[in-house]
Amino acid sequence: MAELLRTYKTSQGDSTDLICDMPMDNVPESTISGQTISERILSVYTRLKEFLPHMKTVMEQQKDFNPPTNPVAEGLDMMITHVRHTALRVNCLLQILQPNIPIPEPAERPTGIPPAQNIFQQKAYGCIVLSRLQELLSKAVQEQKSLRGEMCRKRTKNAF
Amino acid sequence: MDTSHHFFLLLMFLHYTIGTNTSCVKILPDSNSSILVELGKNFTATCHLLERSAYTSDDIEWLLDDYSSIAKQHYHKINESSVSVTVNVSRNMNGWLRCKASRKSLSFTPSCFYGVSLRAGYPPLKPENLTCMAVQEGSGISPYLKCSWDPGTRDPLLDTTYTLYVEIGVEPTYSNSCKQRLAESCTVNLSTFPVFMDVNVCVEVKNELGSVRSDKLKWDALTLVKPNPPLDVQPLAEVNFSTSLMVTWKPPIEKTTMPLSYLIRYCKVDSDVWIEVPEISTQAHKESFRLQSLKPYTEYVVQMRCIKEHNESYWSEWSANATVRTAEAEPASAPDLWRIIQPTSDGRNVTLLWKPPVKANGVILKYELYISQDNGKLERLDEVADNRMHLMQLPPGKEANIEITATNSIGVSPKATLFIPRSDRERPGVGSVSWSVRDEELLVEWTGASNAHVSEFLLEWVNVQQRDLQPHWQRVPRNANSTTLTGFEKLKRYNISVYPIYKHRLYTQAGRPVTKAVYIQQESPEKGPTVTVTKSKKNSAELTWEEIPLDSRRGFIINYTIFYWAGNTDRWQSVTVGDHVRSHVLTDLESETDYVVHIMASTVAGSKNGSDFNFKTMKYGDGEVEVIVVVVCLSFLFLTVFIIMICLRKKEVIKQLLWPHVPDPSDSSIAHWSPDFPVKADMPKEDVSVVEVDVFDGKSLCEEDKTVLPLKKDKYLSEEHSSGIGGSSCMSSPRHSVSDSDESDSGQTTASTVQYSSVVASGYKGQTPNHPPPVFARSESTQPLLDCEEHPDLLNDSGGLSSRNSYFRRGRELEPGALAQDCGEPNGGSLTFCPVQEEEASPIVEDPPASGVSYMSQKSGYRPQ
Repeated sequence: MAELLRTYKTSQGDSTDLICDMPMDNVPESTISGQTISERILSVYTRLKEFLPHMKTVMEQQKDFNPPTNPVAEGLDMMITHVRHTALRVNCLLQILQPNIPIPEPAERPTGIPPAQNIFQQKAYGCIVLSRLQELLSKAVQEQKSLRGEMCRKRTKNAF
Repeated sequence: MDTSHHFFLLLMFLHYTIGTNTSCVKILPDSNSSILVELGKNFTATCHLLERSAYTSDDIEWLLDDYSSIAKQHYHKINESSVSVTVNVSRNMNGWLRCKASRKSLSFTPSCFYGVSLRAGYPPLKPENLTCMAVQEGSGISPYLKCSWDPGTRDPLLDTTYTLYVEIGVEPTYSNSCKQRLAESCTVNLSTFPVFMDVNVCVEVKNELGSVRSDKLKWDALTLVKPNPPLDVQPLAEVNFSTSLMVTWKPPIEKTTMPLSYLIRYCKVDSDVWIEVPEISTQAHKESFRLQSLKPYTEYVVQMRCIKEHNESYWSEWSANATVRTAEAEPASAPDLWRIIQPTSDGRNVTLLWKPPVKANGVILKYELYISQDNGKLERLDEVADNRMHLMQLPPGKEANIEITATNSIGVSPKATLFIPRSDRERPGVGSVSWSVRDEELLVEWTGASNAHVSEFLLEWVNVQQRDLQPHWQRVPRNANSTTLTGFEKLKRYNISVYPIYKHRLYTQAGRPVTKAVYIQQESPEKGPTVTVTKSKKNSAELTWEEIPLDSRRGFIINYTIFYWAGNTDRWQSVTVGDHVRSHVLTDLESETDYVVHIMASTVAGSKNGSDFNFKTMKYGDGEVEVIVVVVCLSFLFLTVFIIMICLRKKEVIKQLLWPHVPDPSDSSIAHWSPDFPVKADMPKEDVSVVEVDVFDGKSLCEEDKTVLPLKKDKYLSEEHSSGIGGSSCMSSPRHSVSDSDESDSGQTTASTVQYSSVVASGYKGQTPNHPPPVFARSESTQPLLDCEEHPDLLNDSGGLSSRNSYFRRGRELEPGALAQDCGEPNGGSLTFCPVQEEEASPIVEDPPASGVSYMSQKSGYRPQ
């Protein structure tokens, strides 16, 4: 993901770092909420599903900017697949953890981004989406590590 | 007639063709294309006679593609118009299966044919051992998943399609088809490799005879990944850590994507024995490792590979070689010290040699050499690292203690010691040494050295064909009695010496060596010996040859074979002599014959001929010539003696023959006649006259005799001994016989001997004298002439007479035989004459008047007066 973001920034020209930090309302946040393990996993799952349409939009915009086989578009396509796969794995995990509780699926709603964006706005939007997705995935990895540590401690206690 | 005939033939042909193509039978099952039949299975076909057919089921016959009939027992008669056949399909049934209806008896009814095409094959087998793998591509994983399986060994003989199906979660199934008989692998593009996802994989095989699917296998996608080798593998040496190396690397793939564990292996450079570090030491997230228990200052090669932790994927390939040398440490072993002792006229030349320590643990910077003679003070010598030799003089009566240490940048090695005893106190050597060659290696064995004081053995070898004679040596443990040496050049001669090494207090001491010459490989000599013949005799010849130079010998000469043959024949003979022989005598040769000889030198590996040498045997043997000469000489001597004896015996006869008796005037009657008148007054003195024409100094003989004759005695002797030109000394003219005498001699002699002749000297045999020839005019008188008539006053001179007598006497005394011989010569020459005999001269002395009368020989002898 970090490499995709780096590739994206490189391909968009100068001053990308500045625009990546711009506030934008319609892009999902990278926060993970919830108190219990299940809630936090569900939060990850929901965020991943929220990001998918935004990533698809960014990929479409990148295909318009450059030839369809440009590295950013290919990386985005790969990343969309990974996010989809990860969401699926998290979904399976939730089913294992809470088999009797249905998993709420976030609606496949539009991104809410006005279609009449100029090129600068599109570049800023794409960068913000990818930056926030990277943050989310990093947090998810940290969450996974903390969950693993917690599970190992519990297992060790049970063993004693 | 011809037209009708041709028309009839055309009708016959049409009838035949229409009749054969018009079928009255049909086969079921029938198909426009080939009918697929499975090999090994039974296939049943039915032949139906059509209604218009004139045949019955008994007339039906089944034929295969090669028109061979199918046996009747496979037929099954269904009814009068149908016959089926059931056959087990085999490979030779590919092609046409025909049904033929015809009558056995003679009939004009045409046969009916019908055929169906069969194509035999096998249905596909179920693929087994399905495995899949995706390789790393860049920093990610390739979306191409390659799966392999075992298709079995049975060829389906039909076009077969293998379709690979990959299911990822709920996404649509990915697939790819590979059309190939017995395909073993196929690759499917997953667009994006499904990291963290489970994948379900199966293979479906399909051909016209059926289809079959492999077992569906489910994997975590990452277990199908083959990562790249670790990146930037760098072993690092650290100062003061001479036995360890720090190895660092980078993971080839993102740790969060695929946590890896690593395997390190290392080995010394030029070694193929790898040492692996257990992978548990290099599990996930590690990026460095310290290799320990290594050898100082040694080059190591390090390689790494990786795998998903818990060995849940494929191993990567090994990384490229990374080479590094461990840091230096102080030398852990002593230098290898050795010596060469060369006795000289006034002492011993000792060459100290040494090798660097086996465990040098670094770069040797210098050697420190300590030498003491007769337990004196140790003298320290610093030798640079490149110099590994030290020369010293050691008297035979002295001993020396030698120590050496090696120094590198870290420290000093243990010392090596050597004791060189006095010449007369050397320790004993080994018993015997033998050697053999195996696979270009030299196996040296020795015996008789089981001495408790022997600490080890040292084998020294030197290429004796090298000028500098640089020796090599190797030490072997004391309990060994053989060792294998390598590194020898082929066809070169080496001297191998085995020394027992004794422990002398704190020093080592070498015993006496036992040396053997060896060749690691022998061949025939490069050139043969050059032979020469030193003595050639009538029936033998002595050959000598030099030893072949060492560089050309190429092996041990075991013998020499001498080939020789007479030059005019092809029949050669040979003689084989030992290797130490350098000369040989060939015997039984033919005399006065040309021979060709060459020598062949032989080693165990072959022989080489030397160049040919031609020689000729002598005609006569030893002493034969001498015998012949002696015999001839003796014969001549005997003959001479015999002749002389004859001459002596028959002296009077010869004398009578040669000198007829001349009457003595004094005894004549007239001498005793006493006339009445004085005789002297009537003597015709004028009749006796001498006309002397002397071209010389005109001195008389008597005058000359007085002064010169005694002085010229030797010269006279010389004259008389000289054989003269054209005759003996007594018969030849003194003038010509004494060519080197002075003029006075010649004149004197001539004047003294030719007094009564008129001689015109024209040279002997055409030789013209340098001076005007003397002319002597002989008197016409028939009276005997008096000696020294022109000096009658000298007749009574005893001195002159005695010298004259001695002159003539001497001539007679010298060669009586020669005198007789000379006198016997019929052709004495015009100027030759015999000397007056003493018997004839004596009366002249006693009776001067009478003695003055003498007869001298003329050209044709003496004429009686």
